[in-house]
Amino acid sequence: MKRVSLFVNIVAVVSLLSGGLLWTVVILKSGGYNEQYQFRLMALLSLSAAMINTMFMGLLYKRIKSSESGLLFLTHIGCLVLWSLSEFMQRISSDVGVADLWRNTAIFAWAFMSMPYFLFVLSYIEKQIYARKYLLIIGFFAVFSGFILAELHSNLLISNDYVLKPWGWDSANTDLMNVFAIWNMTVFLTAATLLTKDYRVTLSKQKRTQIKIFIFSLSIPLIGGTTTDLILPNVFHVDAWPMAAFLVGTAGAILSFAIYKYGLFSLNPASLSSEIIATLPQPVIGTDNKCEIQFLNTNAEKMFSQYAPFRGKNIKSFVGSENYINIQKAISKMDRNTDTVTVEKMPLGLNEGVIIAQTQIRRVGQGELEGYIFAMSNITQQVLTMKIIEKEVKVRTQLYNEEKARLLSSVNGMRQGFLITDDDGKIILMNEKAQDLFKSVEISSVEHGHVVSSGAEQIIDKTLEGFNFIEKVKRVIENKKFVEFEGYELGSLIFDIEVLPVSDNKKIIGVAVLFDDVTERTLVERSKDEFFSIASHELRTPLTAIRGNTSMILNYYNKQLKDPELKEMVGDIHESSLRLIEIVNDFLDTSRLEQDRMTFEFSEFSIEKVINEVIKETSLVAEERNNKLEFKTELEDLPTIYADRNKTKEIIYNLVGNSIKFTENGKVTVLAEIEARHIKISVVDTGRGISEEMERLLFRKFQQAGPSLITRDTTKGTGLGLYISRLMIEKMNGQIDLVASEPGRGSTFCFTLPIAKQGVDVVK
Amino acid sequence: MTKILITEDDPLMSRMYQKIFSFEGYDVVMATNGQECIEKARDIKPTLILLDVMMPVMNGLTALEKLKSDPVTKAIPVIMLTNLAGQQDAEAALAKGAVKYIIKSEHDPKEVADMVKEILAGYTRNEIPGQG
Repeated sequence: MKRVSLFVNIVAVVSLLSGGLLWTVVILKSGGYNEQYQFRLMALLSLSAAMINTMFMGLLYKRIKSSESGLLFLTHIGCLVLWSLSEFMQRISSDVGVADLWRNTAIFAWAFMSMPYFLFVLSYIEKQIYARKYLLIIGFFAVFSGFILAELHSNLLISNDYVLKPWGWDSANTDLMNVFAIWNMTVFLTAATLLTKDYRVTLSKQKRTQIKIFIFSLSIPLIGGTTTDLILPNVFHVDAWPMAAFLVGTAGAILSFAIYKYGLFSLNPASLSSEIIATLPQPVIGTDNKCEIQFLNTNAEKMFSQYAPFRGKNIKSFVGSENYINIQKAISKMDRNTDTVTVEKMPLGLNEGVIIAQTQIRRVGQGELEGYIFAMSNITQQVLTMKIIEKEVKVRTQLYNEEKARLLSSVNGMRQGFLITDDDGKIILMNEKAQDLFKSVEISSVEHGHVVSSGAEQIIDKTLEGFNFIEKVKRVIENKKFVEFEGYELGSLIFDIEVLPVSDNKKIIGVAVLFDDVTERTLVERSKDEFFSIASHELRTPLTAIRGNTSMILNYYNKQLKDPELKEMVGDIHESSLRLIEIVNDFLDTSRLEQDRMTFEFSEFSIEKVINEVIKETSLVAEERNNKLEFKTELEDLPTIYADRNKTKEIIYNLVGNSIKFTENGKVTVLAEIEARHIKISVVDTGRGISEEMERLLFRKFQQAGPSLITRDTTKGTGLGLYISRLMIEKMNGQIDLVASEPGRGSTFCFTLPIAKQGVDVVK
Repeated sequence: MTKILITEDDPLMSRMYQKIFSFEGYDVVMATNGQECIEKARDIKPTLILLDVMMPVMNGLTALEKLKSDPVTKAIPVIMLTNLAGQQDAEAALAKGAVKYIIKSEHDPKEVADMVKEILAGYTRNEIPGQG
């Protein structure tokens, strides 16, 4: 297929070139003849045709020379002028030779004239593309016409028998020439047919009027010229005046006038741009000022194919009345400054389904409104996508709110106040307790998404004076480490506040803040402390009175205690008070140790000193029981230990006291040695000893408990002493134990305490 | 005669201490709360003050502070008396300038009198208080 069209193109171009060459030769040959002229009236017709067309050429030249069709038209008119002029010259010639010459020139112009006209018509009806189809024919025609000229002096085309007719010297055409005349006429007829075809199809009223003018102008020479020059002389053998040139000239004049006066080209877009619009992907519709369709590009035709034929239809019939109302509304918004408006969403019911178009409407015409151009974009896909996205967003928001509601109902049950922030420190959720604490924070209901009002952070920051809420949240987000604050007082309440980082595997997404109301617990603790203080105070005071007074009676009122029984009774009261005091002390100590309320004051001290003190204080009692009491150590310099001095003394006192208590006429020795990183103190006695059974019960509360509760030796104290000692030693990082015991032989208790580390332990 | 100012709100206790120090030959002046103690101290300038800790109106620790900040009474040695269990108070008292801190129930009155004697004889305040 390609090769054939290529061949055709080559032949056409060769024909054109050879035709042009022939023309050049002919022109060159026609110089240097003597002319003689004689005026004949009939010649004036030709002259007038020539002059009128020349005038039009001049008038139109500037306006239409820039367009392709314009140039073609000008060429045609030019040929017309040449033809008329030549005919004029022929008719006023008195010499046959000169007349012959001019006749040749006239025929030369005549032959050449129809082609430009044909091409002009093609371009007018925007079928320039077809011009290429006709190129072959045009090429042949060029050759043909060239041939004519070459043979003009022969008898092939015109006879040499010149007869002086009323209109001057003229000769008959040969049959061959007539054939060529018929061919010429056919070209015009073809042009007329094409114009008629376009007339039927075109939507533009204006165009239809123009085509009418065209055909009218064309019919004049077609009918008239054919009649006078062809039919009459050949068929009817009548010598009629050859009017062809004049008539064609008239046609040309009419057309020129139409172009001049009515702007024949005005609604034709320049041929190139019309091709662009025709093939735009966007459907484009041109209407007049009443929205009647004038023009549809290819895609518009496709889109609205169901509404074909389009002639005479209003855009309303394409888009429907509702859309038309919207279009009218949009158009009404056009003014001097706005010449383009948009109808955003126009649903169009087409055969392939409903599509949504965004239509841009632009007014056409300077000053006066001539019409509108509708450019439509199919936005169905976009609208659909938007709808899907909207739906998706809605669904996700719903899910998010549900999650939030779920979280909220879980945390609302918490004892603590609870809130979460995002990674900017903005609060996004507060449980009920938290909301109670910070009542001025506004939060929308759960149904409305539990939206925490902005500024909530500021409210909390202000309410928690001195806490620096916003600052702390920021810090936790930065450091990813939690922060605790115990005992924050808010009004009459006390809180433990924790700020905890919340992360999803890698990065921190916010913080959670917990407000634990510890008011009651704190108050209870405080009251417990108070209890101990008050309990000890209240119990000890009357006991002190008993002790003190009985002691003073014994000391200062000896005379009045002459009666030994009286004295004994007072002594018993005193002893009871001592026992009671001891019991109260033991009970209190046990309670406090068990509840971890006893404070220990650690320091570095010399245990030697403490032991010696104890020995000094217990020597009297030891003597009373006839026990030897001493302190022995093999070490020269005992290292200092790190413990609570008072409590250590208590423990030693307890052990030594016990040993003395359970020994009579014996020996109690305190030994000191070093064991690993500890000092080991042993208290060895030669007393009663402890049976195996009892061993198990040592260091327990009320150690004297035997198989029967009522079998106990209550004179030997409460039985809490060792228990207390153990608790205390352990709190000082030491150990206490019964090392050895044999009933009847004695017992050895010992305890260890850590040696003070040089330079590390701090003396409080 | 050496004047001793005894500040004790409990009549049981106050009577007891009054007796012992009288027996021991001191001139005894009584006060029943911190406020009274300060006033009387300024007034009679005793040689020694025995000061109970738990008292109404003004407790012993506050009274101690005031005594030690008043130039008139600053130099008078003060011994704190208490039956409270905690050791923190002892520290606080010594830090505020008390010479000694005695737990009443731990000593017979005679022992207390002996301790006072020792202090008046010029012992330093570095003796550890509240022996068990």
